Amino acid sequence: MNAAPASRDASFTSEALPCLPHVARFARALARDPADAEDLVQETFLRAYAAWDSYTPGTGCKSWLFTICRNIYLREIHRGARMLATDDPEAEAMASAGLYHYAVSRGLGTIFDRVDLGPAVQEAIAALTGDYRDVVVLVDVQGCEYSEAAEVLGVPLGTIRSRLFRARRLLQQSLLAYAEDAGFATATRRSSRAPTGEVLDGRGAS
Amino acid sequence: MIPCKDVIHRLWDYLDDEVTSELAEAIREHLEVCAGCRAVSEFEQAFLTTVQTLVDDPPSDAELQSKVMAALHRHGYHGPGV
Repeated sequence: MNAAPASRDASFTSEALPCLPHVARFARALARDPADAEDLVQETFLRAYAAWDSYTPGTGCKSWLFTICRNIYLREIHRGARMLATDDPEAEAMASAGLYHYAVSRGLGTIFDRVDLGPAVQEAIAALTGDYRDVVVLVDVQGCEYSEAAEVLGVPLGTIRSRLFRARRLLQQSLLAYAEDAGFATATRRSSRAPTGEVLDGRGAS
Repeated sequence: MIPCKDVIHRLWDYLDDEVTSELAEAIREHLEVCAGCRAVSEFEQAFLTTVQTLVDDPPSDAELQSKVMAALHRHGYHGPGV
């Protein structure tokens, strides 16, 4: 049986509406165009209000709203939910460790501590393809746990890990390239740019 | 002590607090004594902090909230708002 209108509105007010800033940030990461993002937020809350009786109070309203938001976005761009092949998350973690050693060789080992990379991070996230961008925004920007991101994106936990680790490596490559272009590299060896696709062996990690 | 390879394999999970307490303790102990893995861990953590502090609060959340509230009221919502 549905809740009485007043009680229904009260629970929507107390649980759903406080999530608006989170949904707004998520929508902007998805849509990028500010006007599209606002429309996406508005449509998300209208759909959520219409479907509020199907939501069980206290079961993760923010994730529920993210799911609605993303479903609307996917439908509107006719992209459709697609599953990427699951890569090897451990290999991705190794590749990131390899990037660390590359960064050190270029004098960029402490680049994340000493340089404000905010604008470059935003650009790098925006440049990721949708599947990678979604998981980075959910886990690294919104602070979702892996299981929450898996629920929102409708993919297995292993897929979240592999996408997240791949996305982080892509971001690190972009940021290291940015730092080199901006003249932050101090090493003299200029044999190559940041390594790209290869999975390194974690050398130096004993 | 667990080997370096295992630490690096699970480093992102560890930094994201997505490992069991037993594994977290094993990785923590490893990082205390292994300078190589500790350096990688610090690099990855600094990267995560860079991304995580990218808190891009909407410049016009109040305006957006007003729009959402107006739309909700047009669709039967009678609550007080945010």
